[in-house]
Amino acid sequence: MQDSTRNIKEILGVLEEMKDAGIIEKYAIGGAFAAILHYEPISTIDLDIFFFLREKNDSPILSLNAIYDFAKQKGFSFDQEFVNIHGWLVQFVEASHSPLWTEAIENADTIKIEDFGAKVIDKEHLVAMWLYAGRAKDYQKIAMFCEAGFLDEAKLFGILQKHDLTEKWNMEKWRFLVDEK
Amino acid sequence: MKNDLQTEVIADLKQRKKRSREFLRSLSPSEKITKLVELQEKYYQMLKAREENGGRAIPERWRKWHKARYENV
Repeated sequence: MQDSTRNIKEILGVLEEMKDAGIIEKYAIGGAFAAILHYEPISTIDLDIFFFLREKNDSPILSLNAIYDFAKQKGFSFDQEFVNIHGWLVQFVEASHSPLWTEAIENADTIKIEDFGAKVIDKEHLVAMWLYAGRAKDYQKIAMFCEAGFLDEAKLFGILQKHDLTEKWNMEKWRFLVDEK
Repeated sequence: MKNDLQTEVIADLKQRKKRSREFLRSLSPSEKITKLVELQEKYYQMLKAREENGGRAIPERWRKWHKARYENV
């Protein structure tokens, strides 16, 4: 087994520990790392974990203190952006405020990394999330997925419609659909 | 206007790129992760060389990546 794969499996093990400790509920891998698992390696420095906190406080500002406390206990260093878990920068993104992100976690695919079944946001939700974020690097990933020809269009357009993203898709599609250029 | 040699070279490069991407896409998830790590290493070395040669500094996020990977802090 490669070291890099072992480390990812260790990270997934840490996430399971966080679930068992009652800190997080469901989670799924998103962002560029999810794109890699679905398609092909692209450069990224971090591993995005979309998750639900089990206990939320009443404050309008979401606190990730429970995660940082857990990291401290485990000896993982962290800053406001990342937690360093076994040499990987992991970014925790609490998803419960967004219906789109919530649905993405609930419908995540399971991708086998050797013997471990990793929860990974499915391709169509990833595209909708990238469209919503709307940065140049997000559009690049949408273009890559469109080019791959592996998207379930009915599913994608259903997601876009449900989350009021159809108009944005129509406005921006020239950026990532070859035929529209 | 492109001459025959240029057209040939471009076609060859396109073919190589296509083959390379087909290979990357055919990898298993753990092989893709290994390739990602290789990409990260190469990209960081490129940023470092650029900085060392008077170019732009290594971006903060890549510094963090290097620190996390090699200093475990």
